[in-house]
Amino acid sequence: MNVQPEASKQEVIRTERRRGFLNLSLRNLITAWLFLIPYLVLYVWFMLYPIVKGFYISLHQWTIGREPVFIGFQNYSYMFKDKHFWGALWNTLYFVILSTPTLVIVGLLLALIVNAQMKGTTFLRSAFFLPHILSISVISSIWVFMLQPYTGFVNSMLHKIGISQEIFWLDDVHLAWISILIATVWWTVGFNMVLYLAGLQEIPEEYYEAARIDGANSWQCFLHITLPSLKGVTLLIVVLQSIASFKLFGQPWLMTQGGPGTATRPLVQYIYETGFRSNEMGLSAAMSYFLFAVMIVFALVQFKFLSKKD
Amino acid sequence: MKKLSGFLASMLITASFLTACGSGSGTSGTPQNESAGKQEQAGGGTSETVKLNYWVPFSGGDGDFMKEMVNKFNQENPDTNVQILNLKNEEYYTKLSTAMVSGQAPDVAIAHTSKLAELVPTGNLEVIDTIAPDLDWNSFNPNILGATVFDGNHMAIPLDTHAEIMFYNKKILGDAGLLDADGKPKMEPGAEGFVKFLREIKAKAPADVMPLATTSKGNQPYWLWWTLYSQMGGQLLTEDGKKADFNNEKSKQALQFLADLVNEDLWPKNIKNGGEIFSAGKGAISLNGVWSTGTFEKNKDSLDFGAVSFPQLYDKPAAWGDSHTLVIPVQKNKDEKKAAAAAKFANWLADHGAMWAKAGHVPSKLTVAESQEFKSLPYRSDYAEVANVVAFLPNSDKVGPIKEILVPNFDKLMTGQATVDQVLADAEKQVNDLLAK
Repeated sequence: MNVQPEASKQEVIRTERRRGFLNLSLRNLITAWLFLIPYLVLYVWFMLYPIVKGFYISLHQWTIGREPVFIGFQNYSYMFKDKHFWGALWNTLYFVILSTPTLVIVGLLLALIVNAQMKGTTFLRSAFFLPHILSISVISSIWVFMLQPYTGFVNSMLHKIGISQEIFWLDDVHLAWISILIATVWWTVGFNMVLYLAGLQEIPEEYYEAARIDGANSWQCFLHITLPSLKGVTLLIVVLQSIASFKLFGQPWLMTQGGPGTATRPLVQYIYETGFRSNEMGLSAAMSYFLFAVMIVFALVQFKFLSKKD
Repeated sequence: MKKLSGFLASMLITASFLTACGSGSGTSGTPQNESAGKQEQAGGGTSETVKLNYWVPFSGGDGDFMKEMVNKFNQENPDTNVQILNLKNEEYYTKLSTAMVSGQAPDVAIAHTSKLAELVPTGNLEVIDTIAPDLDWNSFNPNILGATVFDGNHMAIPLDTHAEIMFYNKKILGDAGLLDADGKPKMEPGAEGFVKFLREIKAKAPADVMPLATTSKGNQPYWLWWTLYSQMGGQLLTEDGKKADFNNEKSKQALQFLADLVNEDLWPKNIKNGGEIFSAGKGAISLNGVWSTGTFEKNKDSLDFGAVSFPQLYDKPAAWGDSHTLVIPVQKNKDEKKAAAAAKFANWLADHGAMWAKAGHVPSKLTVAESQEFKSLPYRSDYAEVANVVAFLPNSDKVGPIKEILVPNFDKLMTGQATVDQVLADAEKQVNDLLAK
């Protein structure tokens, strides 16, 4: 509509003269709403309604197939007393703490590699990004196949080079987290790399030239030009990444089933198990609400941090 | 003009979204519509034909055998047309419950005995006695049938039982001199005999052979614990079903036995694919469900194996087991003819349990278990007697959630994160919290 602003403006004026009763601002309002309604309908239907309904469910003892019983905030009080709820919440937080810096740093390193002036960067760029387009089930199957004991690829290779000890990648508390982290990094780091790459290509070449004339070496250039210029991108990535990490579910569910025991069971998995395996929809909804609250607080803190710096 | 076209475009987008949503929300109905279409073709337009929607949660071989049976039934009974819909096991019960609530339930469906206690109180299952008063309940194995009776009412028609049994590799045991004249494992009685047997395998078999090749996490340790605990006469819950009753000496003994097998490396730690390892000829014995028979058979060129009932290690024979049963969901618009046809179909399936036994399951009907057709199948008769000693889990609607508590706790033990005492005390507290809610 911006192609011929003059013409359309004249047209508008003409039409307005023709139909005086419909003034410009009202017409704009109608147009705006017509554009908004399709999205709003979907938003209300698939976002707002489920959010409200979820809260309603969380106040009931809700089992599919039976009459819901209103129990007030009992689900919440049960949840706060459930040590497995706290355990699962801690697991999720632990993963956020573990994965966010890793994914940010590795993403930056990869971006620096593919941004370098050398041959084969286009290939590397696609290679690093490729896992991102695969689905979670494919990723997890690949890694389970690689890491499983006795018959897995990694252990077979280790046996070949003389390490006879059986390493339980997915069944040792610490190794299981590392395995999940490796799989996650391999899967999602490509996205961060692309964001960083865009950031890197926006830094004017003149900065580097000027610095080099002043006698700065590469490390100094990186430290004093590249890093500060990427501050905005970094904050964006940190926010996006930590929200994504909060939603952790697929990798542990498919790789370790939350095990050994409950050592890698994230909150989302516990919510799923409570709701769909134990058929406790009310309690499940209450836990979802708690996670929702934690994520909002987390996002707000980061948002504040972000807007202060800029 | 531009505005108009913009408006049109937005309407088009909305419309396409709405249709997308429409078909999305209708997915649960789609299979029915589809099958309705097929039924019309198959029914040949005769208005007499009763059409039945039949839901099953079978993966792998089970699904194929069931389809074969449905085809045979449809051929033999032109007045009835059964349409089978195979759903993923993971989401089966969620879908079934949702369908029942929303009045879109299938006419007949598979339900595990262990799930009946959850389904029956919802009032969404028909009492079979009222639909098929003439059904001969005496033809069923009383142990299997007993687990499907609620308040004196038959709520389901059992099709089979699938219990935990013992598979053994004849070649490995034979080479180690551990087979008797009948080709059965030479094992001294009791728990000590079993351990001694495994130690001998470890000493005599090739180094890359696992004495016990059973998945050592998740369901299997839970099933094995229940098997051993039941052999000692233990129970899961108190008589009134309101408290946990598994934190006791018997239970500890059973669990410690499993932990010791792992600690002594007779049962390797953290195996995820016990069945596959046995199937590849790298396991001497495998404690596993009867359904594995069908899988192992596919490898019979390279795998010479046998199957026997679960060995008795304690006071009495018993084994974990469950049953596939057929239930008739309550319909929004009741149709007696359909319900009767569904009961007839279900009973037909049980009567043809020998066909179903190809998947490895033990038939629910005594007549079938004694039939020549069943006896002529290899392996099956060697463990068919397990049907009499299957220890079903109690009829509590909390059995599912309790399993969700026990499995991760037992995993902690199996991976060496916790001791038997810790695990059972912890699980007992959680189960009591759950039951008190």
